[in-house]
Amino acid sequence: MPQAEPVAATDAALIAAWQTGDEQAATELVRRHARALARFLGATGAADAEIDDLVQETFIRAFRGVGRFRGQCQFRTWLLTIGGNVLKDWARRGKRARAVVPLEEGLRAPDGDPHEHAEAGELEERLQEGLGRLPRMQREVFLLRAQQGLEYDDIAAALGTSSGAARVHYHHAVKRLKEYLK
Amino acid sequence: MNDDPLQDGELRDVARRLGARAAERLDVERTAAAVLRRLAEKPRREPWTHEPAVWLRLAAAVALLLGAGTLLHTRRRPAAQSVVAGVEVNDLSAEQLRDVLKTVDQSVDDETTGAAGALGATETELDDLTAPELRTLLRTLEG
Repeated sequence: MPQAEPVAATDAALIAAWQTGDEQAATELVRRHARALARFLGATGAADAEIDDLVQETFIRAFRGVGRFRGQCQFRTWLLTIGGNVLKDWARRGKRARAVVPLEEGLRAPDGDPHEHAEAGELEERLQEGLGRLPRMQREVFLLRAQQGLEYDDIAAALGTSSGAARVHYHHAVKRLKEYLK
Repeated sequence: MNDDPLQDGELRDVARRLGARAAERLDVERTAAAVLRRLAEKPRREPWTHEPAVWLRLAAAVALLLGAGTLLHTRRRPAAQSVVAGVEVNDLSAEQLRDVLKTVDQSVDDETTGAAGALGATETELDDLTAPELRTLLRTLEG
């Protein structure tokens, strides 16, 4: 008789377990969402050297404030918006050394057309610069949608806006980024 | 025809690559351990509005203010109301009414100079008033 695969606990179940003091549940939530959070923070303008601290700070805020999370959106979406606030506070305190992450060296394949790779890297760098010029709401909506693949309803719930407004922010962000990348 | 040099799909692809290196470098297990350690080291500091002691102090202050306000209000009211509480003015004789009014005068005089002055002007004439007039005066003082 085939053995049934263990069913992964939902985020909601892990949150409930954490609220009763289960540290393993918190560890599992970090495992699930830390890399997505790091990508979001990196794209939002955090310096590589600070990503680890920012990720930690975001999780700490999230775990301490988890009582305010009512399942209005996915836990990840909620977490990413907290990450945006952490980064904003970080920048305000002058802890952020620079606004733009340099070219992603690790993304360049060792083989292939060097010119093509250089072009791809330049595009990322330019996109990063363009994101830095957007209003915060447009930048976050764009990244939550384009980078994280989240639904508008979810984004809207996390950011405290309507789905329609989130679509408009995304549309404006794309338009401005395309203009900047021309 | 769309001559846009950068399509939406391409823009999304580039966006997905942003921050990828930082994410790969992140030591998730170490991050999780650090988060739990920091949570344990620095217990959550509740906002001041969530601290029970603050609310207790606020509630106590409000209760004191309300109590003081009520007391002041009671003391400023014409004493006639409490003097004649439970007694129908119509049941009192002229003599009893004069006594009550004199008592009122006495107690108001102790509390508030304005009311005392007003009543003091009538004091000398109390003996000249008839019972209905005394009742009317007492009702006026009762407010």
